[in-house]
Amino acid sequence: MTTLSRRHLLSLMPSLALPLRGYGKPRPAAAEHCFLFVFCNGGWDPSYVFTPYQPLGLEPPTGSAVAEVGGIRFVDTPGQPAVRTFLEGWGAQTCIVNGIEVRSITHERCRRIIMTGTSESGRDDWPTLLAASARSELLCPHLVIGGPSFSSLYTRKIVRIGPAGQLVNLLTGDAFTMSDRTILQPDPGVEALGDAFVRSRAAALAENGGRGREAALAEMYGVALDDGAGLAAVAGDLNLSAEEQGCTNDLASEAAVAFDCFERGFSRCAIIQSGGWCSSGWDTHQNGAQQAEHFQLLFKELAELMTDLDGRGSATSGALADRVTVVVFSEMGRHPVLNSWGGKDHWTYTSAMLLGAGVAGGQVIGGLDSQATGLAIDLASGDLSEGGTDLLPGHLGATLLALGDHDPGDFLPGYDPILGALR
Amino acid sequence: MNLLLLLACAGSGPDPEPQGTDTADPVSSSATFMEPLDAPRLLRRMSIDLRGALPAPPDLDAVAADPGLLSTYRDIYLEDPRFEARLVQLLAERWHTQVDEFQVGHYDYRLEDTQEYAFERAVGQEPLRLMAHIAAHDRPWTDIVTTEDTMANELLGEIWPVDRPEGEGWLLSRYTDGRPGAGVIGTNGLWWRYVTNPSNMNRGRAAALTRLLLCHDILTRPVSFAGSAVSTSGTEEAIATEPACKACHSTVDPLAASLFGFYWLTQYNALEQERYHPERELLGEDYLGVAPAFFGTPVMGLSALGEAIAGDPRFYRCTAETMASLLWRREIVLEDYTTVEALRETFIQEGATLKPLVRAVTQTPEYQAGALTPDAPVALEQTIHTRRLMVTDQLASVLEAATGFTWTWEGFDQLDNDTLGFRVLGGGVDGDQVAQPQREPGLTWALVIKRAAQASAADVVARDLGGGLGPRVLLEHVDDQSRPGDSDFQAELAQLHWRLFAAEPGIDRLADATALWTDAFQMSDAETAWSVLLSSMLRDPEFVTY
Repeated sequence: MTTLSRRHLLSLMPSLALPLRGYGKPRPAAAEHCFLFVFCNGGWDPSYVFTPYQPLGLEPPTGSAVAEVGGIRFVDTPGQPAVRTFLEGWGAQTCIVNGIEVRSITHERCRRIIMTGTSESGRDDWPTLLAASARSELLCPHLVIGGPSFSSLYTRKIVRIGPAGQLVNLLTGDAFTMSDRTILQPDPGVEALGDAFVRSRAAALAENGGRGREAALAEMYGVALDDGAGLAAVAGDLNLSAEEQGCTNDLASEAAVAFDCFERGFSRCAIIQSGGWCSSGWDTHQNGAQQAEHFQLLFKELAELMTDLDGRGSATSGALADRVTVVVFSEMGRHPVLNSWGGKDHWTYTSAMLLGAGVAGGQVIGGLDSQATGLAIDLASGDLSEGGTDLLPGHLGATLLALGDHDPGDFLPGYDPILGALR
Repeated sequence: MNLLLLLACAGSGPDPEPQGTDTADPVSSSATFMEPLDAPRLLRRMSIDLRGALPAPPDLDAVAADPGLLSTYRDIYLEDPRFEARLVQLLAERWHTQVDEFQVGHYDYRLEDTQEYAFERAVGQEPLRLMAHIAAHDRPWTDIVTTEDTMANELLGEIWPVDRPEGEGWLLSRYTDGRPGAGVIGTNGLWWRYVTNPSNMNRGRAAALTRLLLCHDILTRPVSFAGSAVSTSGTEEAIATEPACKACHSTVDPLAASLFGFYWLTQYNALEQERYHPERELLGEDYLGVAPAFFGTPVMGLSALGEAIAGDPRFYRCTAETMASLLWRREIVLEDYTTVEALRETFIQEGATLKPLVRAVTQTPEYQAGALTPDAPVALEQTIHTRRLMVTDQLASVLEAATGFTWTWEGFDQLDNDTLGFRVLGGGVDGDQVAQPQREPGLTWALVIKRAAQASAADVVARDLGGGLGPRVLLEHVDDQSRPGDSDFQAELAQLHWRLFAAEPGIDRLADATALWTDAFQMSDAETAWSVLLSSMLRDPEFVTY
């Protein structure tokens, strides 16, 4: 008969491998390498910025020309001057990765694939894996401010703020004001009694729950209660609500929420979503020229958030920018040929942009061939290489895990990082 | 869905002659490591799963005295009116139609903002309600793809072209716009969730249809254009000529062609989307260049498509797999092959109605498992959900049944929306960004539980101790003068533990509960003390799991 201690059991189960902690103990904030994911929802058209399609002999976007700023070759298109401005400011920190093949053409699956490496459910996405692998115990390991999130083993590592500030309302009790029936918020002292009671019950059940999930769930519940109390204690000093700018969400404002949490050691990852100009979405089956408006807005906002990032930090903690990588991506690219409606349909090759800490900037890695399919690269150098590696989302994930100081092989067997993208 | 690849090659369609067995007897090696829940706690699990409510204390008394009555109560629960509503929520986890936004909004019908939630849920629930109705009324499950019926509530009856009888709530109705009878695949609610556009031309819908009804997920196939000439041709030309494209499109496009009665020439237009367009049925062949067909067999019209699905053996296997997954609270994996196959056989032998299948799932060792044996392999701790987490839809219905409290605000159910509410934060599925319910506690889940428990407790205590009209809901014995040591106080604690946890409280737990009440009372008053104690019990780990 096998007899295992609870600690041993937890260590064997990835889902349950939580640090055993004393309930209510304060946890130190450690200087984690953090990641902000900026998701462009709907499928961007890389030919507007990242991948000139001239090899195909196709017409580029009207008036556009291939240009180069600080080692980055890009498509300089009228109507999106913010791209050049951004690269002039942050190109040295920017690495563009082209020719990533997602191997699907539906939004739902491509979203899952670009973020997990597979179309199957039951996988955690890159930010969730990174958050779950943090060295320290974090209150909000992966903060979902906007955009997709896929999780399986580590769902509990995800904290959503809600589109209407729901997280803050729950923390403060303002949620009770959003009720047709009058709900009086409990006196804090009395409420604390209930909190302590529930916490002690979770601890007792975690100790005595027997073999199976009862004890494990109780243990996780205890952790969640601790984290909730910890976050509530600082909620007054923390802005967990993003603003809107007219008809669209404000990426810079949302990024500021993430940066606040990074600075304080509450989070390791966060995701925000760009819906493009006026939230009309990047899925331009019609009116493909609208991509220029989307990119103009995106790069303007990226410049704002990078400016914000650059200004953060302290003498003791160091510059926040030294430990934050920004990952800008979209679930798919767009077919090189215009369709009958002046737009472009889905394409299996897309691009991603890595900015900031740990990134070997000022370069473009990968590309498209004359058929608009991906070119192989040498992962070590990032150079194009016949007989090299065709880029898949798993390589992007492995690169991010390596940036986070993890062995990608522990999570993504068979995928090596693009070392050429890393400093 | 590796399992389905195997299943696709095994078994056949429905057997014409029932075999006479009334239970599934699945063989599973892991079953030997499972220890079943005791009878009261198993009754609690079945009651939550099948009715979204706790069992009544007399029911708990009965099964505690005679565990053999469990199956009797389970069958009673299957006949409970709440089973139908519960099925709606269960099926929503898979069908993902309860989204917070459609291409057509409440404003398109000049509805007030306070009707936004009612509108969105009415649309999203239409196909779910139809399936739940068919299940609850013991109609053949094939009706979900063949019936001429749909379900409509007052709001849908008002805004859509349906013939709905007078009455309250969701009622069997018929569309009046000439659409063929095809069950859920003839509902607006399904296709408003799974939309299309001029490029897609119903292909996404075809993929959704095979995934939901046949567990045949076309989209898991990798799509690669490396080495092909797809990039230089237009998309439509490539689909028709490139082997890399045709591999999938030869299946998808004929299915998509059969759905053109739902093809919308204008997006975001209520009149366009609410009506079936019989005159467009033939457009599919014209636009896609293929005749309507179901995996190689020609079909003429939507009804024929429904009939073809109903005749596909995968439909039955998929139903068994779906219900097992929903009730085991986990994804189905290859190792479940034998058990799911046994469930499929039972489903068919029992006449292909849903209740016997649900009954069979509840009889599996995994459904009944409460713990693992000491010698169980460690891996089973992760795969066998011996304890399940309540998420927002379950929490909402259990709290309503136990306390009478519903958290509504300006027309929104706060535990069932994400626009203003807490559905996803509480572990629920939004049908868009979150596709499966949360399985383990997290920070926001615990916060939602806390606030919902506090609100429910305060509400029911005020009512039960307030001396108002009407019967008490939860507190049976005490009044505001009851104190620890009084017999009514002790009786109240005992009945609350029994009712809420399906467990007899030990001396220590009664003492802890009494101490909490006493501490709270010293800081406030009796009503507050009861409210604190009750809210703590409503978020006790034994309450919020099952």
